[in-house]
Amino acid sequence: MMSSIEQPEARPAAVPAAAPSTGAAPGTALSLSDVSLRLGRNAGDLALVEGVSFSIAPGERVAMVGESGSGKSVLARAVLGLDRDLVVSGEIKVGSKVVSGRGERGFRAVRGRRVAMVFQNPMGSLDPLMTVGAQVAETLRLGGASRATAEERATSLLSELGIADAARRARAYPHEFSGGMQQRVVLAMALAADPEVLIADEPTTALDVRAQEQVLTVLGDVTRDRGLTVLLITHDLSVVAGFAERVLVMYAGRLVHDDAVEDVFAAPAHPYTRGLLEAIPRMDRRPERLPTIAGTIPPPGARPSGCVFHPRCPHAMPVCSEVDPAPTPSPAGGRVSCHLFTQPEEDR
Amino acid sequence: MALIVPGIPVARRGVRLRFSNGRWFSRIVIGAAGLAVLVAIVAPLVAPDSVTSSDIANALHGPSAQHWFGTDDQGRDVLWRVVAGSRASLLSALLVVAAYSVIGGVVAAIAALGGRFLDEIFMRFTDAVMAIPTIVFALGFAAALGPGLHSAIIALSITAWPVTARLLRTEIQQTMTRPYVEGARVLGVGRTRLLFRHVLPNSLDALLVKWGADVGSTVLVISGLSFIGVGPQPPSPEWGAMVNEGAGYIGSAWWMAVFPGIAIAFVAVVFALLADVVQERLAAGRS
Repeated sequence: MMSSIEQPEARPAAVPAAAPSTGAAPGTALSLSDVSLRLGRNAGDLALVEGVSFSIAPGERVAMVGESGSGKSVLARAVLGLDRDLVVSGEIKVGSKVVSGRGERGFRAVRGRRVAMVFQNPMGSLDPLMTVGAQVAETLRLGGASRATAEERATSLLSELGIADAARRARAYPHEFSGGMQQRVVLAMALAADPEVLIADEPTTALDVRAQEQVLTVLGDVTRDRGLTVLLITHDLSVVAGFAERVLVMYAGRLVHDDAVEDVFAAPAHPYTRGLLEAIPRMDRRPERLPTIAGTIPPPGARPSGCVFHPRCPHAMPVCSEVDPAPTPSPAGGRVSCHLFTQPEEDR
Repeated sequence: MALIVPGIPVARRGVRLRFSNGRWFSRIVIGAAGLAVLVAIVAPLVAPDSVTSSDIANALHGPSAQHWFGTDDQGRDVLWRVVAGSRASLLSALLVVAAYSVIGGVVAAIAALGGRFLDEIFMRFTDAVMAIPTIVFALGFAAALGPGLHSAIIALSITAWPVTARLLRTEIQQTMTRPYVEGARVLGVGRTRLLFRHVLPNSLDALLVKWGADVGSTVLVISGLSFIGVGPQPPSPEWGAMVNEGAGYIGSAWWMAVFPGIAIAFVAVVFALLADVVQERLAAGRS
């Protein structure tokens, strides 16, 4: 564990371009530095997300995991400025362009064309009064395509996403599709905008297991084909394993852990990440009780001092309740916010 | 959507399935409404002069092969007067509903989308207009512009929009929170397009029913206005006025009041059903 400190900025070879530093190095598709989201302008106002920094390299596929209420969705939405009541501090960059801090204008410039987003509920994400073909075509037309080209491209996109008989199905309305098929349509709309970054906020959560798998496969295929940068938000670690190259773990509004996916699964550095992984039921081990992380996630406004995770942490030390751990290099080369990695060995 | 309690559409759907099962029903309704409008447009152009001139010798004849709906106390053919009266009654009712729908729609859109300040101003203004009594306002209008159909139409349009504005504002606010609106915004759809393509069509559900029912009630209000001398003046044919005139003869010449009465009922029912049919088509996609 100590060895990692000697190579502070090292990354696993699998994702060489993704420097997990706070700075927006050239060649990042999306970067957040010290981003906090508050419900008001004052320092005392409720903070939903605090001091999150990460960057994603072009073409990288990153998963953001965390419990409900950890701030992952609200953070993803902030990238596109969707919650106008939230006060965003810090800097959000898409490519080399700063989008935060300029009000609606900054975000409008990147919506669709540079960053597209897919939401959890596919039925709700489609306009019930428009045919699915028209909705996909609408996005294409925003990009300047003529009506005829847009319709043609819409059909081919739908069929690329695995909708059989796309030319005919394009004229059907959203309610005539199953959940999995609806989510493919939603994906087609997002891809039609030809974005560089795709943010998928729990795209498979509302679907049954089979549809989940199919949608994930299709999402994986189309984004790989296009070399899209993907930020997948999920609370399902089994989804992460097959899809992402890197994992960001959110807890109580903080980014607590950032590592390559193999390292997260093989040797999770942060105690919270470890807890999450242990809580996954496994076929080869049948414990009496499924391990859980004791306690519940603290709501914004009732977050503990020091490390936000210390009341639930099996490794909590005296320092944990006093000092908020800064991100430090993890043993595997990512970043982790935990005193286990900031303290000298003998102090533990 | 907003004002329909979740349980109600289900109950209504049951009724509709029995009542409006199949496409033939909606075709009949659409056809009847279209026919009524066509008649209202064409009839005044082809109606004979006898619609307004009197022929006392032929007064109060019952329905016959020559005068299907009989003749009134001035000896005028009731059928022709009903047909010619469709312009004053139906067309002006449609005009009124269309006019205040547009006014109400603009106010609602500004209030719902223009931010808290504009919302407050426009909604308080709406409340103020809501307090204006239609009849009194129409009387004042007639005094200023002179009595006639135009005074009635303007007065009604100006006083009737607030309900539409209030309803539609709430509906728009509701629709704005739908994920597909956010989804469209995320993909870069502009504000105008978002409003006209996604938000408005999905907000008209409850309004359609109201507008449909309003066609019938507006016909009645125009009749009322012409009765107190604000609306169309005799001898020009108007259904409500015809019912009023006929009411005095109901014992001896029932046809004078009954046929224009049937016309009013027909129009009211057909447009209410038309709204239902359209709403049903729109609602098909909603869960």
